[in-house]
Amino acid sequence: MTERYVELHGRSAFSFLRGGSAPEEMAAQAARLGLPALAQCDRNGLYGSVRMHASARESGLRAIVGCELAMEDGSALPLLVATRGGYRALSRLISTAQLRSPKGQMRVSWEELADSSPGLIALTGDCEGPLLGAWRQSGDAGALAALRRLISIFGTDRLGVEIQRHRVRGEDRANRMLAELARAHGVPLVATNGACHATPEGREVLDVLTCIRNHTHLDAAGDLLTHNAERHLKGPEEMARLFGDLPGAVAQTARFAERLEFGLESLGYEFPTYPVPCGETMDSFLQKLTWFGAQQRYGGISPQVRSQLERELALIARLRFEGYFLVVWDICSYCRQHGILVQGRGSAANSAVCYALGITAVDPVGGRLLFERFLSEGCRTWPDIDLDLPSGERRERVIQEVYRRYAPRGAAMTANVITYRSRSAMREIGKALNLPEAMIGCFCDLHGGGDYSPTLELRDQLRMAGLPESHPRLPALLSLYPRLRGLPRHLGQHSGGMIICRGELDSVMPLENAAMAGRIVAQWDKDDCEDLGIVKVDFLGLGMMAALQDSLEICQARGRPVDLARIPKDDPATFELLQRADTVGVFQVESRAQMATLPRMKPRDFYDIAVEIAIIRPGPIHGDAVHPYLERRAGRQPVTYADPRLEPILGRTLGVTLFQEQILRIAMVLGRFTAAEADELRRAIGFKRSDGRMQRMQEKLREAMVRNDVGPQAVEEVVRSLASFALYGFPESHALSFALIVYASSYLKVHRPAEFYAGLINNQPMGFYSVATLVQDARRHGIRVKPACAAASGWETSVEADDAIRIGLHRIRGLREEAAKAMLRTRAERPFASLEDFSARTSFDPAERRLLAASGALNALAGHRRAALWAVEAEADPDGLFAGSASGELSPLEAMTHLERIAADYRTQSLTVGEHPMGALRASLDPGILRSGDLAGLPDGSRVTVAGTVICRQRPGTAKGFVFVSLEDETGVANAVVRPNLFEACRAVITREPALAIQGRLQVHEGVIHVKADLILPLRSAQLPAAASHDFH
Amino acid sequence: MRYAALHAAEFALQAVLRSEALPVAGPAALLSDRARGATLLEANAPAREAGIEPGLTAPQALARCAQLALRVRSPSAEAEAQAALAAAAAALSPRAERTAPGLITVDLAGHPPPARLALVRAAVDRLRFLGIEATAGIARTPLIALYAARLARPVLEVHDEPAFLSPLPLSAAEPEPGLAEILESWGIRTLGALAALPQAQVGLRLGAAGARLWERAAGRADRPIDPMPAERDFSAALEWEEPIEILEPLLFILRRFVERLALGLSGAGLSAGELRLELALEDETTHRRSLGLPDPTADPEILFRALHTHLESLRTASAVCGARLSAEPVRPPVRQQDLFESGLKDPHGFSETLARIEALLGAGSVGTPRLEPGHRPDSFALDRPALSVVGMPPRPALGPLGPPLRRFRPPLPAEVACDGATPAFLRCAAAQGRVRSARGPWISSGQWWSAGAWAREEWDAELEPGGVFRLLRSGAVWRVDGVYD
Repeated sequence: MTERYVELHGRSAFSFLRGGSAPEEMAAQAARLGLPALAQCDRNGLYGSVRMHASARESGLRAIVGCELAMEDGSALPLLVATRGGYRALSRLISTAQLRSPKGQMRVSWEELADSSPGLIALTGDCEGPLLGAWRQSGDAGALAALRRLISIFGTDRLGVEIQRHRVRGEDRANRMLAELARAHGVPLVATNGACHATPEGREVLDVLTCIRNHTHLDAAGDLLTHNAERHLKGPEEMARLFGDLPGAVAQTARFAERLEFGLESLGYEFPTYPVPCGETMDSFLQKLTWFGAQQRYGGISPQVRSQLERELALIARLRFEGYFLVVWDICSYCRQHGILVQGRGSAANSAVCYALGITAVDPVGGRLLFERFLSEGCRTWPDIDLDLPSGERRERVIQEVYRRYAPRGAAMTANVITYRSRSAMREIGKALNLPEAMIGCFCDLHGGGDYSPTLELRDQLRMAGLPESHPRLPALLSLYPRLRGLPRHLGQHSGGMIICRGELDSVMPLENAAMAGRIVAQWDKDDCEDLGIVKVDFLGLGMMAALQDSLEICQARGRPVDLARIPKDDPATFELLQRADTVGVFQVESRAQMATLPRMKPRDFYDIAVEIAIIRPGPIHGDAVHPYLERRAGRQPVTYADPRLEPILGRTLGVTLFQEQILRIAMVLGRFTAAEADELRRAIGFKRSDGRMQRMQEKLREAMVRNDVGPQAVEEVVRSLASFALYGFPESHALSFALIVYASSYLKVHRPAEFYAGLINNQPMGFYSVATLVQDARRHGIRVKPACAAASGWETSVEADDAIRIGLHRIRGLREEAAKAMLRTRAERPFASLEDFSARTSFDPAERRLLAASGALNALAGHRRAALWAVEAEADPDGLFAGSASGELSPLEAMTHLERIAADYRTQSLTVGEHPMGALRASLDPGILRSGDLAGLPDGSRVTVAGTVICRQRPGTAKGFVFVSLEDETGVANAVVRPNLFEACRAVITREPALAIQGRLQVHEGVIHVKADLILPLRSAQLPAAASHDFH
Repeated sequence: MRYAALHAAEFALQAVLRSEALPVAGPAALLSDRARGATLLEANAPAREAGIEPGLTAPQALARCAQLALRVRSPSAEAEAQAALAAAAAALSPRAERTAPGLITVDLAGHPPPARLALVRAAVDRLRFLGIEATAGIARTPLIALYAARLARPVLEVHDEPAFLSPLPLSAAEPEPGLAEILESWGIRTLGALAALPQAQVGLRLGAAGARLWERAAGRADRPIDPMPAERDFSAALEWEEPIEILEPLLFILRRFVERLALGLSGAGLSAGELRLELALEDETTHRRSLGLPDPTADPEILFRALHTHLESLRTASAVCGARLSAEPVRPPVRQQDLFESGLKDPHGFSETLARIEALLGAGSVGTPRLEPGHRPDSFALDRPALSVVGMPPRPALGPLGPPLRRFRPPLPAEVACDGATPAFLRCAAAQGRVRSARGPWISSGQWWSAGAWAREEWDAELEPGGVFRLLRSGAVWRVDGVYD
């Protein structure tokens, strides 16, 4: 049987709560069923169209682009794209409707549809469509009117009367009406199944999504749920059987499909252009800028640099890529003109042109970086340039400037598809199944957080949360949970990825409003853009960039400027700091895992820092690269190469594959991959959605290496490295860019500690540690941290001396910035003479005055905190009943005790500039409890107990269920390792208690100290403030 | 003037626990009834010893104490416990005030010093008998009596007020949250510390509320009590979440009712002339019964026996989820009612009749049928009969189509032979013959998420001998649902 049938009305989970299967699932099933093509018509957007396009390509299927538009009368009209013009019109139509509507409430008027209809083919839709909706509401007359309106827009040649059979009693009557109407008006009758899920099993997920959409549960959903599981993809034979009485309707689908010529491969996207000065072309202008920049950067252009630049510029010209480089150069210039630190990272750092243009800061020629990692002739997709910017307001300024320059609709953030994750999936399924809220809440509390890789079966997790094994809905829950996880939930915006297309981005992809005011977001995410060869610029906000910028500005203001471009690259004190893992606050290498590696790694030069950054990543850890590298570095293991041809590639990393570029070079050398193939390999490594792509590349490389006489052992080693990189490997160029920031932050910590800590404190939250931990670290480094003071502090934390910082008023939670800044202006005019003077000349409200007094900020005017608290209340007189009483009496209150001051500090500022709370508590603790600083002198295997406030809980995916807990006390930080079974036994204590006492055996290895926990108890004390903890990120 | 304060700590928790037939001896706590993020409101002493404190979430509390029994508030249990407190207080003095939940203030005027302590002790003992652990304080003002009651083990009389008040925590005077925060920041933690501050300066800073707080701290706050009116309604009621299916737990609750009502009646010098029992059943019906007493009495044993005798022979249609017991107060001696007078002479009303019919037909078999939303044909629920007839819905634009179907109720068992998937031959009690033509299947299914999952397939089959039948198939079982006219 050779029936020809194309499903013209598919709907994926990207219809958000109206489809039960991911596009990938739909495409794979369609291919299995032998469909030649599949149209995906998601509601009000083309959200999943790129994924469908990519999956269809892999499955040998043709993806037809379509969309269901919500019309002004509430109906949903399926539209199919026939031509590129139709696509552009549809994209603009969706963008227009989306951008004028609140999120999720888009409607299109029939009039504007008529203007955009050329190049589009319409179907009359299912029961939500305009035709059946009108028939149900107004009978035959209504249906006739609806059809006539559609004919007036699309004619009879671009319209199909859609007919569906889901084996529901009564539908034949509607279908008879549709067939008659089609015949009477000469409109083709088209059979579809309105597929909402790939297989019959998807019906259950669809029912749950329906409940979520309607805010109800399955028991109460009634008619909202599907009749049966028939709305799945069906093959040609089944459709032919189903429409045995209307064979023409099935055959018509293939004829329609033939007319739908457009596919996303012919999107017609062009790289952004840049308006060059008169008399210049983009190519000539880029050449000029590059050679001028190179002269500045290199001082003199060596033959090697010249050759590299010429090679790159020629390639850029051939690829017509000049506009993109100029756009990014222009943005970087804007940043520099406005005093905003900017640094390119990622693969762009492999380009000498980027370096010459000032986009990146790493010299790729000197660093022997692989340009092909960035750009090559045979690339199917184009690289992004990632720009690191100071997080916060400065980054937003840059983004808004880009919107402004490319307005209207010339720039948008890429989307970020938020999917159902463990907690949200459980919450929604639990609600749909009408399970007790308390049970769902308990599950989320116990098993939700961050990177928990569950060590318990779902059934056991649910039992712990209070759902008994015998619960009648447990089977449904167990079956639904994995199926809902990973499906799209809603569209967010990517943290920084921006697509630029001068003035016409909305005809390339639909745009809509982001939830954040002033932001426009595309309907495609960054992988979608990459798949279609759309370039973007990533504006990534780095807290450390903001901190560095602040630190440098403070240095400048204090007359001790530091030029990051000129700091010595081999400063011994900086490397010593890194070697002893004294890296709290330092970029990237401050995490517990990094600090545990630094004393073993002992970085001695800049490249070592890049290695340090790259080595503590899931890729190298899974690929078992960490241990061999450290052993070889320490001279305990010989440096060997599986194949002699690997020596030039892996020499710098002692024969161990650590960077993505090395994988690509290996593929090019041992597998003789072309640059294009290497690029395909790079994309497979970076592509997180599908294992299949990676496996195919692995096989291709394996076969290529075998063909090139590479030994079996070397083949296996390379393939294993490749597999581990799929988990997450770091590009060398990226590591080198980050290493610059690591080095700069380390250098400042050593040579400008006061400015360094002030910069960090002014840009919280950022990094790994809370501000309380940073302050304690500053104290341990000899910095006097002075308290917030109304007579001396500014709004931000400032530097008073080389070894002293003053906490700013910004740390006092609840203090309005404008009121504080008004006070600072008043103080600048004339210092405050007394508390009465302060109260008279400032505009703080009573609560703010109390906060200032409690935090100690008024001590300079009142003597002590309680005196200030007593005095500021006299200003309030809430009822005016005591107006006659004299308020100027001396405070009868006693000054706060030491512990009270600490508690008040944490309450008002989340930090204390004095002793760590554990220090104050020490005398009352069991004398057997050691301080973290005491552990260093003890032998390996000693039995110890440590206690402190929890500042970090981590359960990395690479740690096989082990949990790492960091406790802070008055001498530093103690790290404990918790076995999976102990964690499960003490899960609630570990995850909930703000302070812990941990007993176990000491593990000392190459200067790295851990406590292997065997007993964990809560440390409860009223004096211990709840400090912020960095948990499960 | 002397006042006694009868105080039940963790009152809401005690109220719930005393209403349960199986006593909870170990740690227990009361959970707020918020659906999400519920936290503990109260914890009993064993729970507090295990580190349980109000404000913890349920998972936090269970992490600290796995044996912790968690309960939610029960307004009816609290009302019942409050009535028990009032009854005990009424036995002390006619001038008693319902001050707050779990707190009754009694004017002890007229009781000489040696006797009043013994009387108050007896009231506390009586409350213990009623399942309430209460304490009592005796002092010059109602407020100081309350402070004393909170500290009492179980009764405390205050003589030296300054010495008593000074070390009490500030929270004893119940400052408003804003004031408490300010005073905490001042380091003021006891009533003595607050009273030591100049009152005018406190007032200047903390306003009238602060000045009043200062007076409470200094023991200068006095007030007349607002006596509750003499009890006229002698009834007790309780609802519970888990329906009761057997007699013992119900008797336990009714025993509590009887003891409390008997105490109230005797305190007021009255007896019960009749008992009226209402049992709220899970099927939303109510079982009502009036029990005439041959001889009015306030003896709890006799009252309980009357109830017991009735309940022993009672079979309710469904489990019991609430009870109400009222005693008709009469002054002894009263006119004795007829010996054989019973509830049978009372109008039981429509609900009770329904309950009886339901008892005959089985649970869930009585009511007005209502089609349930969903795709399962004939799926219906039974509602309580409506008191008024609702109007018909508007006619749909598309009227019914096709011949009417005469339903077989229940559907007839059938044997169907198929040709492929299509019925080819039918045999059932109504017809037999070869299928001339068949249309279908129409497929529907639902409740896939529960044990009640169903799936069915429908066919319309025209038989050669004549007649068009609707066939149903569920799994391998065929039935005939009806015949088309």
